[in-house]
Amino acid sequence: MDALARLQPGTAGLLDRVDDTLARWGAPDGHPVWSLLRRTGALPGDAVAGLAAWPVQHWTEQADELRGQAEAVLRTAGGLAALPGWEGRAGEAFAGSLHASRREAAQLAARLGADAEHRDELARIVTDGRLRVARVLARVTSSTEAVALVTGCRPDGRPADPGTVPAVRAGAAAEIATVLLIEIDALLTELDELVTRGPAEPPWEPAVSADVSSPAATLRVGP
Amino acid sequence: MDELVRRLEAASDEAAELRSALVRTAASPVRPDARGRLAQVFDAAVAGQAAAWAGHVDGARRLERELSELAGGVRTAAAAYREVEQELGGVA
Repeated sequence: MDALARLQPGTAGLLDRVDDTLARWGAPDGHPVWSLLRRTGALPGDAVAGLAAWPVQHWTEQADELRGQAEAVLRTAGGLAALPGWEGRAGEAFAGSLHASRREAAQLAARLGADAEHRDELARIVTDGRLRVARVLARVTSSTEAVALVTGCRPDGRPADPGTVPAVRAGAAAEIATVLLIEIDALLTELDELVTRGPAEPPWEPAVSADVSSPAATLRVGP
Repeated sequence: MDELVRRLEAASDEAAELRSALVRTAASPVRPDARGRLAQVFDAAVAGQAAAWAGHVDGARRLERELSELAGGVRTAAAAYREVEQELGGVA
């Protein structure tokens, strides 16, 4: 359980206040929180809760599975390389087909490995992003803005005029939402780029009819 | 050549085992209760990963089939050579 998973339940009450205040009173005109809300499409409490629930471990487990399978395919390819051939036209045809199968196996192993790296990178980006959000969340919970949001007092600690309490709370909620959504927006941008890029494509080796590697040994078959 | 057939069939079985293992472990992650862009990015990531995984299963299936066909070709060639040897042995 990482820092965000530990912090989020305990800060859910504060973040619910942030979300409720923004939903009810909005934010000051021109405040940067507006563009962040449009970009993330979610209120900060919802966004933090959603991020805390991302299944990072699933991707690292799948990456391990893919790496294991890539190694198994390489062993199969190694076994194919050790197969003997034989002389003659049929033997040459066999050698060509065997070479194609070895190449197919090598390509498959490379794709499995590339996918494993991709899932590892996805997990790493989410893990790092969760840590950054957790740090901001920890700062926010002890901030003057959090005090202002809960008490309705001005950020300098002095009581606000009763008529201005909603504005004080709205301003505080907007400040808290901004610092959280900046991190979440940055994380989503990084993830977008990775997901759009996808796993790296292994280099394609075109078939060359004369490029037939010698079998490990050659059988003499025939009279 | 019988040994060659056996080893090719064993390699084909390894590819089949890979395919089965990938099919068994193809589960998608549990979708978090996320909204907005967080949900969109998550769904896009899962969709991309599912497509890649399906590609690996297809690759394993192709390899299994190629090796099985190769084993069959060698078996046929071995039978043809044995027949020739027997005929030549009869002539001699």
